[in-house]
Amino acid sequence: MKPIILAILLYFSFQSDHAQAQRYFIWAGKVTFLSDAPLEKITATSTALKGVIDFSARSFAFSLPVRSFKGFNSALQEEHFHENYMESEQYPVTTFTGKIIDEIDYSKPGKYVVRAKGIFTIKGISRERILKGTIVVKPNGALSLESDFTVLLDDYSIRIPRVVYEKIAPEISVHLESDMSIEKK
Amino acid sequence: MRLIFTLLIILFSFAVQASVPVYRNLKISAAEPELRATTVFQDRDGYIWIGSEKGLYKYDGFRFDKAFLDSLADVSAVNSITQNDSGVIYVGMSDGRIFRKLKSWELFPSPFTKPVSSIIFHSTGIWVATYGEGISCFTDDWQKLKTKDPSVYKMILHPSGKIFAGTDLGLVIIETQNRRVHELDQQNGLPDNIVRSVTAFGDTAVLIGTEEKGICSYNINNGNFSVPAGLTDWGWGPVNCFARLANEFWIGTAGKGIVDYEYRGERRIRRFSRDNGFPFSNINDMIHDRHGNIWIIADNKLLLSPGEKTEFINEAGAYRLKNVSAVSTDDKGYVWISTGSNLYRYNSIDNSAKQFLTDKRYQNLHITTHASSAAGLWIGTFDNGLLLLDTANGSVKWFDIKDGLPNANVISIDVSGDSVWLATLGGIALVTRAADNQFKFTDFTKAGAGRGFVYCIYNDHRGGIWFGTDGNGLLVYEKGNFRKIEVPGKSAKVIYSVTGDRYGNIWFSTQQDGVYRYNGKSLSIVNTASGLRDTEIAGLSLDIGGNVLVVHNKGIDLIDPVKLSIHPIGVDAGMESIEPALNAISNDRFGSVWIGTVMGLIRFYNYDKPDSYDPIVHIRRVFSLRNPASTSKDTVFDYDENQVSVEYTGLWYGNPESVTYQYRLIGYNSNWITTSDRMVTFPNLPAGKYTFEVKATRSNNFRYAPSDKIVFVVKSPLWKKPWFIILSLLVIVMIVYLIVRGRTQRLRRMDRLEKERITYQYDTLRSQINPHFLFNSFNTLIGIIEDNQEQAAEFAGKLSDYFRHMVQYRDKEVITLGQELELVRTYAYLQQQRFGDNLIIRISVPAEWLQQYGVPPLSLQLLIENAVKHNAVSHETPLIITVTGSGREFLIISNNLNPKSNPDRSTGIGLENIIHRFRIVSEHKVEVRKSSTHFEVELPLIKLAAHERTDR
Repeated sequence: MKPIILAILLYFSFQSDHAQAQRYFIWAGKVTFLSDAPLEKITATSTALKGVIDFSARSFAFSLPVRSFKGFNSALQEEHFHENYMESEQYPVTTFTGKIIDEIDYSKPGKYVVRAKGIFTIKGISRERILKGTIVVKPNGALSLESDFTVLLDDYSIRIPRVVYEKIAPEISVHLESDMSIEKK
Repeated sequence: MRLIFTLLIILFSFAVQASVPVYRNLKISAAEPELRATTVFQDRDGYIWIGSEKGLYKYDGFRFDKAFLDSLADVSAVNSITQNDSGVIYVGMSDGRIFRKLKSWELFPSPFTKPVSSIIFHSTGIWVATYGEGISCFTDDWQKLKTKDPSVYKMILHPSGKIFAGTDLGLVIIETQNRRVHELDQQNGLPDNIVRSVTAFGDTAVLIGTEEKGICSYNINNGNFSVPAGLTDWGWGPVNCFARLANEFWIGTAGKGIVDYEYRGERRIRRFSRDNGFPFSNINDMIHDRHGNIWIIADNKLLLSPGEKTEFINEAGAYRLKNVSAVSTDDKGYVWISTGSNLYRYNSIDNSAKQFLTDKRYQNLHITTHASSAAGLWIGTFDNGLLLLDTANGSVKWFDIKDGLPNANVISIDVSGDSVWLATLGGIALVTRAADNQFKFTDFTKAGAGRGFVYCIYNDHRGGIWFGTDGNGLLVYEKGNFRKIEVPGKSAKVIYSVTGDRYGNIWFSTQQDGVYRYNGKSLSIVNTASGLRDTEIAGLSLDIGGNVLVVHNKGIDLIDPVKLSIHPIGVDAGMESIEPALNAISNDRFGSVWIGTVMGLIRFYNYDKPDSYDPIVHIRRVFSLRNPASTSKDTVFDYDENQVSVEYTGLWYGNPESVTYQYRLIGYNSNWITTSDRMVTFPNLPAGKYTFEVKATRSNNFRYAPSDKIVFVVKSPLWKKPWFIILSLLVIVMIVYLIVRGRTQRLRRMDRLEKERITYQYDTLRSQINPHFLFNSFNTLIGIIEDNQEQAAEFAGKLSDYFRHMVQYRDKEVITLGQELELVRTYAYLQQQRFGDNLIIRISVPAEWLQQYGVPPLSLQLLIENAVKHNAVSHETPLIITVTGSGREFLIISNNLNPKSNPDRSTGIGLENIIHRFRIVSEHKVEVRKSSTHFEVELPLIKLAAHERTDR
């Protein structure tokens, strides 16, 4: 997983490296998913989201190690999550890279809804998605990102055994929130 | 009584779907029922092309022909289909390849690997948009344009000459001449950056479909974006495609079905989605064909809809609309409907209705007709006179015979300004508003209109009020007088409906005869012979396309008011046994025709002009049964390919079976033949030039039907062509000449041969009875007799053998070498008795030659005899003759030379004769070599055929 993140960050470090380039980095974004099935609610959180948004190039890249999710209902559930559904050994990272559809003036404080269109890759399967996020520009110039979206298990050929139909929702809600910093670490 | 049958039919014959368009789901491939269609296109010939995830198909209304070879392109999906100016079809694939069909399908080289969204042919080059690799233009090579975003959903050539493309980051506008690119996005007023669909909207606007904000239009002149009224709060998901009808858009969405938006007139919005019975959600592509049909790719299936020309309404709010007996429209856009005693005001924009006349007093009314006026709604009834409803407050004024109404049965009402004309079952009356605001009734029964039944009124707005009567025919009230229009025929005295067209003609329907057009002077009839499907006509009207509308039980027949050709609207538009009520027909201010039927209300909105109703007729191919594989329009056939078939089609997708054809083959039979087949075969056509002409129509009237024709030629057989005849004659003359010459030569040769043989025979015979030989032989014999009688007897026997063989062989042309050598040996024996050891004859010939080869008889003998004759034979100078087989199938006869001092007199023809004879029987020459010591003759041997060998 580290080489992938490095590659993405390096890519953005070298790309359009002019004075106005406005790149914002996420080093430890928080991602929570929720499976709200009739019989069981499963939720887990990761604080290992890494990403970069280049507003001048209108492009972005996010990367999240699947193994970083914590807070399952049981250890067994966590094991199932990684082994049966996400195949985390084989596909350790989930990525979302693409372009920003809506232009915002990040120098003005305010709340902006921005759409991002890109390739969402889970378990090695890539889908084109348009996701919406809210970017808050604080008066001091700091930026934060928040987004809610869903992932259809069927899109990524994650098959749920019939016995656990009532325990795993076919549509997983995802919540993401993070501050963005202009510095590179 | 005649009325009753139309008013009171209670039959239910077909299920009506409220507010869902009529459509058919077409199966593209029987072999692959799950084939996923992706895009649809109509070419210039009218054929429909369907792109799928596995290949391309062409449809003519009857069958889908797979257009690609499996190996060529099936691996990826067809993404876009286009046609260039010369008719070549280009297909863009989802893997970036482009194919085109010249003589056969071939790859058009391109550098793309991402889906080809659109291809545009323009004088400035071939423009290609891809989803992922931007926009490129091909002239001599591919040149990519610089745009912000490479993901192009759709690109169009606008009538203004500019190219418009939709991308994730806005609208791209390209000036084709200088390739200048302008990009517009939210900063410029575009409601949504993601532009998924673009289509031309007139000469100065572009309609844009977005991801989230629905549709908007872009004005090219002022650069403004505007969202159409009523569509500002779009909640129906991404827009994929558009189909533009005359006054409405069908907007295809990703996930929420179709949104039907009327951009003119009522600005009504309707939705066809899973919520209301349209079982599709994702609209992939949509086109509007030349006949007004809509082709829809929905959830990757192919649908065909006649469009929203016809709409069936059997529910309005809480009310069921059944047995509609009268329909009228008002200037506010409402439709008034009565079903027996119930009266409703129907609002088509929100499909709601309000009931009127709910008071008990009106419960038993049977409403026959109504018409809106400034004063309110005039309502006619059976038996209960006339009502005037104040639509604002619901109050009713009731008029009866005592108020001046000639009859209590009011069948038809016409309002023009303050004048209200009434048709009753007891004559005609006029209601006017007097100065005191009271209504005044004028009875025309005594003014020439009579007391008979009057069924209908038509105001031509040129000063004439027309009435259809029962028994009195057609009446017109002009300048204060009634005039009767004479119509021949008995049933034409009963007239149910009257209307007028744009050319000032009056149209009226009769009880059974059909429909008449009256131009003020003469009458023309349209009846079943002209293609009218039913003569029991419930009503006439005019649609906004200008067609005369005839409503009957089988649906609607549209008549071209000039050509009188008929376009039936029936099953293909969902109409079958509609059971319309008499004259329950009304046109609203937006051009819709509303028709009341047993099943409810029909809204018919037709903007197509009369001439757009013709099928598109094409001759598909002409071919010979002998060579059915030829698909091109090959038009020259050999004399033995004279079994000629012609395949043609009349494209009419709504109901392909309804097309009938008429054809003729000029040059064979000039009579038109009517058929419903789409192929005809002419067996055994004589040689000649033919013109095949075919017409197609949807009514039985071929008079103005579109046609197509093709010329083809059946060639004369070879032997009937002049050049062939001349050539043949020349060849015959030549052959005869050659035969004659050959025969003459052969005769001459045989003659010579005969002469030679005779000479030879004479010669041999003479030599045989050569006195020297005989004399010598006898001397020898005498000598031996004394010494050895036994030897003498043998000698005499050999001599006899010798002469017998000579006689036996001399007539033959060739004898075997063995026979000849036997003769030679006999001769040698005879001579050796005389010369003893002084004459040595050595013969060494391969044994197998004796039978295989032959020589002319006595030729060897003659040579040996010559040798003996010309040489001195003595003990000192013995004569040695050798006969040797040469390896190259020659026989060499050689002797040493020892010439006699007094040679025998020679005729000199012996050797000459042999040479001649060999020349006849052998291709090789006889060689004669003479040196100082030897004389040598080389004879070519003649190879014998098997049967000649045994011949002895």
